[in-house]
This record gives sequence, structure tokens and C-alpha cells, in this order.
Amino acid sequence: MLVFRHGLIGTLRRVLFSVVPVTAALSVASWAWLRFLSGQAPEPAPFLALGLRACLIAFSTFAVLARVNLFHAVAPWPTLTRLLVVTLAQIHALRLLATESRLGLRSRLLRKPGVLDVVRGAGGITGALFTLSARNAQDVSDAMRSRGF
Amino acid sequence: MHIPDGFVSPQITIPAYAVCAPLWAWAVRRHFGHSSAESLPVVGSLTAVAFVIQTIMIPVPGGTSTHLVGVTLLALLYHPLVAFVCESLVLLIQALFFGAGGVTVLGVNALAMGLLGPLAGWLVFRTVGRLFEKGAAFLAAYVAMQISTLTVVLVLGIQHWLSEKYFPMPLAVTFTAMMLPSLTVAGVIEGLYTLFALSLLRKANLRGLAD
Repeated sequence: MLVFRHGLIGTLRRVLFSVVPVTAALSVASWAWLRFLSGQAPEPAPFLALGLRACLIAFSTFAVLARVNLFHAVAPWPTLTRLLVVTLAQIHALRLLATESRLGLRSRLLRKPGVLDVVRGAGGITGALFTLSARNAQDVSDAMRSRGF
Repeated sequence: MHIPDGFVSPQITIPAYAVCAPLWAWAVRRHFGHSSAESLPVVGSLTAVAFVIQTIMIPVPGGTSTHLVGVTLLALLYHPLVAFVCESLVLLIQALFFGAGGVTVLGVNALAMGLLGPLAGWLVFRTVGRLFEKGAAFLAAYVAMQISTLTVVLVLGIQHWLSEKYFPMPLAVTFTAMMLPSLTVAGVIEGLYTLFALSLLRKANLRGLAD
């Protein structure tokens, strides 16, 4: 934590929301189940160790990523770099489409969208996602070929 | 369903990576062409589709939400190995940027959610689809979800058996905590989504998608 003290609060918050809920919920459920079975409270040490281990690895991952430019890190492997660029660019493009679709669904309903509404809407937007992704893939492929790849 | 980092020891994660690595290589060589210009854009695009589908949150009773997976749909439209490669990349991005899953357990998550589940769904669809396609799509996605979840549960159970101190949660707890929501909620939603999406895609007869 001393090494990664810059941005510490933000990183800890990310760990808190991403890792702690699942770990804590399973730990509490397991502790209660074992206590129910044996009648005695189980040792908390293994549960704490698991939680600490999960949080530490997540913290390290987030802290390192916050300080590392991923594109520079994978630069020695050009194929990986290109894959990362293409994938992230496509994610950005498709997320815009998905977000607009979600907003459109909410604007068309007088009530908050229910489960079936969202699932049906997602089924519909899937066609658009595949169409756009196929077109983008063809464009990128043509661009790569024109540059000699 | 993603196993976080730290839940599973290297006794399991390293063999999982050893199994995944040749499968990734074989899948890429077999399904994505031999040149970068052919393979990279397709891998990137399908990975992006799978990723975006998984960002769609579905509200469920109780005030919480779940998310779609979409990997079975990829397996049905293309091939289970295609779904495996794309889902592995999605899991890597989720682990790095969102803390969902983990990097050390990527192999385990990839096998469970990217290969075994979609493969089971694909087999169900190919078997049952001859009789009734729409029902087969639902069943395939539902079965895929259960197989993926069960694989994760079994891996955690094996870890508990290998070392109770490393992973103290017994199989009974992880089984109930994970299979119950999967059987009652997540599997049904994924089945409905795959049914709707596949029907629409077939009707639209979109170019570039496998029949």
C-alpha cells in the first residue's frame, strides 16, 4: 500500500465493490453453515486469509494497471497490440449502440422496463451488434490488407 | 459466476492454463484464418459483441440484477471453439479492468464459462434442434449456464478438498449459493435471450452469420 499510495483510495474503493461483496457473502454463509452443522463456531482465520488474499491480488492488479500503459506493455508483441486496439475500439463502438438502444427502450415505455422487456430488447439489439461488428471487422481487415498485413 | 483471484490455488490454476493454452492456439488456427488481416478483426469484433452483451444488466426481483452472457449464442452461430476464444478475451478484459474474475484464475474461468458450458449447449442444440429449434435454443442456453456454474462449483469443491485452510467454504455452501440462482434466474434469462436473439437473427438472415 505504501508503494501504491498514490490513488490508494480509488483503488481500495474498486476492490471494495468488486471483490469484497462476493467473498464476504460466501464467507458468512459458510461460517454459518459450518456452525449449524458442528454446533461450534469455526475458526475465522481461513476466511479472513481468503478475503485478504483475494483483496490483495485485486488491489495489486488495479494498482499496477493504473500505472502501466497497457499498449506500451504489450508493444513487444505486435499481434497482441493490434488485437487489443481492435477489440477495445470495437467495444467502444458497440457500447454506444447498446447504450442508445437501452435509452430508446426506456423512452418507449411508460413504466420502468421489466425483465422480459430488457431481455426481448437485448435479443433485438443483438442483430444490430452482429451486423455492425461484421461490417467493422471487414473494414479493419481491408485496411490491414491495404497496409500490407 | 466468475471465480475471483485468490480463491483457487496454483495446483488448479496452472493445470487449467496448461489445458487452455493449446486449445486457444488450436481454436485460433482452425477458425480465424492464417493471416492477421483475416483473424484479428474477426476475433476483436466477436469479443466486443460478447463483451457488450455481458454489460446488459437484467433487473431481477429483489432489487438486484444479473447480466446476460451471450457465449452460448456465439457457440450456436459460429462454433464452440470460437466462443471459447472470444469469451477468454472477454474474461481477461473483465479481470483487468473491472475486477470480475481474475488473471490467475483466467484458465479456470475460461474452461468453465467459455468452453464446457457453450460446448454442452451446442451439443444440446444439435441434438434437440432437429425436433424443435426454438425450444432447443432455450434449452441449449439453459443447460450451458448450468454446466458452467456446476464446473465452477466443482472446481471450488476440489479446492476445498485439496486444502480446507486455503478455501474454507464447503461444497454444500458454494453449490447452494451458485446453483440456486443459476437454475431459477440466470439460466432462464439466458435461455430466453438466446431464443429471442437466435429467432431474430434467423428471420433477418443476416449476412456473415453461420446457419
